Amino acid sequence: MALELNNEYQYGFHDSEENYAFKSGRGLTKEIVLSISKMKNEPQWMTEFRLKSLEIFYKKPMPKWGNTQLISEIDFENIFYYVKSSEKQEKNWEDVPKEIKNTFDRLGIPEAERKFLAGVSAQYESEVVYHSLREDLKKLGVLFLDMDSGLREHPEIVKKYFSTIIPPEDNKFAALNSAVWSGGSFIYVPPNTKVEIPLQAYFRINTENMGQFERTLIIADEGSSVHYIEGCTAPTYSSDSLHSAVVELIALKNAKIRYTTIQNWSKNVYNLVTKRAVAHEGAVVEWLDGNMGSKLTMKYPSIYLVGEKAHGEVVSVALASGSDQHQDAGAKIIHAAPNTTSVIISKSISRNGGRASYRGLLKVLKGAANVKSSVKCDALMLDEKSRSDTYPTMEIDEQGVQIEHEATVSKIEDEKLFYLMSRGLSEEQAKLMIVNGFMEPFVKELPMEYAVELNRLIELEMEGAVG
Amino acid sequence: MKTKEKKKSFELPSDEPKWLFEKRLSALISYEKEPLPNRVSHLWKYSDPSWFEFNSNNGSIVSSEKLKPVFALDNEATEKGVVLIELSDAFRNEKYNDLILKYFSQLTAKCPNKFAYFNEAIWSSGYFLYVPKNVKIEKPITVRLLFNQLSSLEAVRILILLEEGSSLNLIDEMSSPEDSKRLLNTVTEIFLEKESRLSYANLQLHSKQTISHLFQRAEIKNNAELTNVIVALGGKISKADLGTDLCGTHAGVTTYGIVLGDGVQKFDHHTTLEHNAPYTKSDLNFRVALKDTSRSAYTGNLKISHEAVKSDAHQENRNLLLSSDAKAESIPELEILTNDVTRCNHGVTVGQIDKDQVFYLMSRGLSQKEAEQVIIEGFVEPTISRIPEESLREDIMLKIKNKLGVL
Repeated sequence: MALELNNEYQYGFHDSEENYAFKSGRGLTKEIVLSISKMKNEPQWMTEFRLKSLEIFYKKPMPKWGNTQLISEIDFENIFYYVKSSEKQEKNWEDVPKEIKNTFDRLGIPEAERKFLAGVSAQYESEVVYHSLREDLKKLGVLFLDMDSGLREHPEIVKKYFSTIIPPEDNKFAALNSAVWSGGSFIYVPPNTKVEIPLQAYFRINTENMGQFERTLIIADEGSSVHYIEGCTAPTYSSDSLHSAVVELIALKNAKIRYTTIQNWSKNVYNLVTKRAVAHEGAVVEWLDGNMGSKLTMKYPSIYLVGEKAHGEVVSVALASGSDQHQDAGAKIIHAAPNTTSVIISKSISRNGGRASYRGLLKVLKGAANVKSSVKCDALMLDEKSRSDTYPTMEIDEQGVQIEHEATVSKIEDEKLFYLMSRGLSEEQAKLMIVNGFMEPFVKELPMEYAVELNRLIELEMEGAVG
Repeated sequence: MKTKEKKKSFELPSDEPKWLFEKRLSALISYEKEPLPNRVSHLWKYSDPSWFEFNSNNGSIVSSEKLKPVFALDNEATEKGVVLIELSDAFRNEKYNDLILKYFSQLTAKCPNKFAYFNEAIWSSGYFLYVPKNVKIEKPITVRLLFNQLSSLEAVRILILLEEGSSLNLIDEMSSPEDSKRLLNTVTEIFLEKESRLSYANLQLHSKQTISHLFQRAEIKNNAELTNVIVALGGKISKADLGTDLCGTHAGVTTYGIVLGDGVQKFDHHTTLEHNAPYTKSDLNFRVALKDTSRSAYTGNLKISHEAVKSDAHQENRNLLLSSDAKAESIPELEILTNDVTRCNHGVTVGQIDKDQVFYLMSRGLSQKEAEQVIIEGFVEPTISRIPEESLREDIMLKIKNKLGVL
């Protein structure tokens, strides 16, 4: 991993600092931003963009909502904003803690991947797979690069769309990302091109894959379709205390984008991510968003339905486990055109003192007639120590609408448990079955291997849930 | 000294006990110290707190002539010991001193609030209602507060106390003459002791020039039950902040809300429901119909604390938009700190008037206006029909019809 920033290394497999080719000092200054831009040989406009964003970052106040107590603990002065690692990153597999290795075992993660995920290897050895995929994509004219290469090789496309959906003024963390971004994916799909297999960040793994301030831009041109998968179910160990990504999706007329994320950051990470999509006429955007890890996640994938008959969908699950974890996730959908439709399905599970919050916004702007939207939030609480919140906001400016919102909070019902146990299942098996059933609407949308991994992960998390 | 002078300018009755005067002074200092509420928190997201501040923009004439609540207690109630008197009289009467000292401003003190401080400093009218232990009164008591022409600022204070095992039906009807500009600040405190039962209705029928801020807090003890009906038809800007603390086992609250907006009316209703004891139950049903450029915001916060096991909570908010310029907002929040809940859910819908229904009614000979009236009545009916007292149901329906008739 490229951007190991904090000097504290919770899991003990600490890099010696000499391994880094370049490391900025702690804290954030104009000089650091300039040197990041210079190291990357960026065009002038990007350098200026970074500097402008830095000013905005300084000026913007911290969010006054959400878990303000936890966010106020972030120490911006004590973060390395840019670290470029040298070619060889030598962490030792032997140093990886046992419980992490166990998790990999249980999830059935291939050997090469494990090393990458544990931060032992910066390179996931998928070159062969990736290479053949790359050939196929090339034939289609699909661009699939990391963001830095995207900017180098296709500056005209990047310049046209970059930061048009999420301006640095949007929020403090978007401004921070805009100033110091590094890595992330750049995808362009030409008109009427259907990318059949999901594009995974996995396949494009290099030293700048899963950074701290990654920046992703996906453009699906008219009539095209693409499915992108970010992250993975296996735990991602990072010494970074702050992960703040910006993801922009642009679905032009009749295009379709599906973006799947499953984040499983280690529990020292603040995961504060801005994700937004614009759907033009007849376009479809779907966010599938799974939140398993991190200390605090604040992430509300948004869809602006700006063209007639556009459709947006956000399906999310959150698992908050342990009193040191708060999943504050949700969705935002803005209907800005007539005949647009949207669906939000949110599922959260809190256990062992964890806190899961759904925070959502559904907005129908004036003139967006004949809008239909349905929002459904279900929360499952597994013990009396845990907490579940629902913070939905609905702002409706137009009469021709059908809006429905429903939320339920429940526990595992004794009747259901009894029924399953009377069929010969143990209590643990029965509970797991109920939890799996609860997660079904999300899991069934995932590619098979992800679904399998996610189920195993839930099984692992549920261990010891009895009693 | 400045504060004292200011206070004097409100021309308060001089025959109050000294401690109350001191209390007013300290409330006035708190009011001045307390900053305007933060608009980031959802409670003030849709209304500007400065609308409810007393300043030269929204009124400067304060009448020394006190607003008189109009009510009548029948013989039965009086004989059983029910007390209904003006609050200022209750303060002057030594008989009620102990009760007043024990209960007055106990609930507002729990939630420091600029507008409640303001009320505490300058309230001049309102009433004190007391129902003794095990006294049950069937016949509804109606209190009418008709605001007079002269004053542009009114602060009303209501204190309701039901002792153990008692029960009562109470209706507050608040109205003001047409074309009278005024700012109104009402604070209501309701105490329900063990096993008591109160059905309370607040009917807001103000003129279209009135700006009203209602702050209501209720504390419900073991096995006690509150039925809380709020009907908002009038006012230019009407904000109501209704809070209930279910602090006794098996305590319950049922809230029915009806809002009908037209013209440029703005409504902002907030409910805070706190389940703080086991086996508590809350049910909320809020229906909003909006015409023209009227706006409504409903925000709710439902908390189930760690202790409140086996609680049952249900919230429902339905909005009907009758014009493309009307606007409805809804934020029903849930904060659940225990998994051992019997039921906890909420639902919101926002919809338009069904054109097929209008067409059908018109094909039966109704004018479009009549058809819309019928549909609005049908929309609010499911909430109204659940209100237990028949006379109140009829009264509310009549007032709604009145308003629809002039729509």
